[in-house]
Amino acid sequence: MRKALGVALAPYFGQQDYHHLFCGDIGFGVFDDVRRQTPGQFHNFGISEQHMVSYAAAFASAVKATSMVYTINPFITSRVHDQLRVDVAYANAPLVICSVGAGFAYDALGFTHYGIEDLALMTVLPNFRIFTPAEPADVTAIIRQLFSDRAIAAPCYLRLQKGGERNLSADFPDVERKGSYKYWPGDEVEIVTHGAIAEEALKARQMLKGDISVAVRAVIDWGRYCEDEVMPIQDNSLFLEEHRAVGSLANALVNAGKALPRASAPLRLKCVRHTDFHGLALRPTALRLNGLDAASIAHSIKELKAEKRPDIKLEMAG
Amino acid sequence: MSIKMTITQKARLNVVRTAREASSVHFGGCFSVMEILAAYYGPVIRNEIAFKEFIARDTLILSKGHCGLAVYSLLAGIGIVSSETLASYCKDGGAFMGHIKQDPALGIGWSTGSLGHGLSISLGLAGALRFMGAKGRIVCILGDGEMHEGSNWEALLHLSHDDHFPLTIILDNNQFLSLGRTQDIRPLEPIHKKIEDFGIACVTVDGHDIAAVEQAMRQGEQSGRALFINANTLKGKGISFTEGVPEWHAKRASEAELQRMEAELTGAAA
Repeated sequence: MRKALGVALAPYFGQQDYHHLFCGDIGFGVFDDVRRQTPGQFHNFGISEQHMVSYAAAFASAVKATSMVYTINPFITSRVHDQLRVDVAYANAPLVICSVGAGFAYDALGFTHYGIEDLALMTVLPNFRIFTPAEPADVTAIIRQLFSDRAIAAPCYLRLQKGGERNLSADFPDVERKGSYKYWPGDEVEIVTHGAIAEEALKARQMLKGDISVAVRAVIDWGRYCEDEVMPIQDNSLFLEEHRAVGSLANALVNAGKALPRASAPLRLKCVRHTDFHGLALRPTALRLNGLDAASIAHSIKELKAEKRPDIKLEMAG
Repeated sequence: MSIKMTITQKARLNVVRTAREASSVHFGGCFSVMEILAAYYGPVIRNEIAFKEFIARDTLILSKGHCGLAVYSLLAGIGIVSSETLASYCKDGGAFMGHIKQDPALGIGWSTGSLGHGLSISLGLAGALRFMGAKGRIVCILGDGEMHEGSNWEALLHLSHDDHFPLTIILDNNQFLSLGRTQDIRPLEPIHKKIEDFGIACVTVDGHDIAAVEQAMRQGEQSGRALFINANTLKGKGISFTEGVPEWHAKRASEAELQRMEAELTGAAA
């Protein structure tokens, strides 16, 4: 996704000098095009995230044009939360806060670099729009949406995984990337997910092929999905998120009044539950520990299919 | 009034009178920053420039946002803010809250209150002026206690690397935090040397000498670069029993204390 970001940004920066990128000393190779073609619009702020966010918010507001701040997930969400709250959210600055390292993307680096609480921090802020690409093609579409006009109307949070993700939708050239899209049709269970964990959902779908018909839906624009697209949650929906329950998409739907936990429509969420990450867990292990790997997802779907308990009020599948 | 009041006396009196019905007033900081504000608005006070023209050029960021009442009181003193509007300070539905808010009509560039934001904001606004090739200058007023915030030092490191910003930073160095002397809690001095060691131009002035502050500000404007003005002030300045007394940082004044303040400012106590 990182490469896609750099490639997608370059033409907009080339066309307009008022778009600027503020970077926390990461992204080696990612922004080569931007740096080479428009060096005056690339600013490396070193390791000073608080200053960078306030500076960028004021700069973008004064220039009245969309700019972007980019660094590793926890450092641009939790470390600078007061700056995001006061100078970006309440100031309604035309700024894209772009994080890299969603979920367990930086697995080998340890829990200081995990991005598993960021959505809780960002969804609590007023005005912010949330974007969660599942694949590089989503990033391209989102950047097109955010940089086509001079300025976005509200600040945005763009949550990237890292690098090396595949375009899972390559077989579906007609995919329309609005709030969400389906990778595969299926009429028995729908996995609603976001981010790169969509790949695990597709693997689970494959495991269940011929047994249970599973659809996979990737949500990339939370506001659009929650406001325009989502139907009241059905009995057959399973939310899959590489994030904690608080701040999850399922949470957002409940808050939007689209997923009231009720007997006829239990809300099922598979998300990060583990709290002790002092032992090193690479991403496959971390996903397995939290029941987020393909085998665990397939198992949960079988249970969901077999389940005939209409009295369940709110089930957060573990 | 028994004596001819100066603009800063009038402004302090406005603070005191507003405090009678306001739930939150930071007397100490409002009184220490008053001459700095008078220097900033000097050209308007002397009728050298219309207020609208002035704020089209210069933008104020009061990073120590809890002293917004000082700004409003001074602006009321020179007829920019009406007495009715000033009286709405901290009242339900009022125009002004306890911490200063962004107000283009008053030339206030950003809402502050959470300390340690204003300097980075000021750099960002100054960076935008530079990028757009626009005329003008950003003036950022910091408090000495606020200098404990690490974000300020991140911004100073930025200036250390590149000081070509239309930016004047004024430190209202009133020597006090809320509970005691800055020097006893987390010493800031020698701040002048520290700033110069960062490679940033710095001048130290008496922060209650309006002419000296104004002269330093002009120096910054002419240099085309960022300038840090270390303005030594006295917390609670202007009232005998608030000067240098930490509890007046945000103490709620009694009616008797307000009357004593008024008497001292109007000369009735003499």
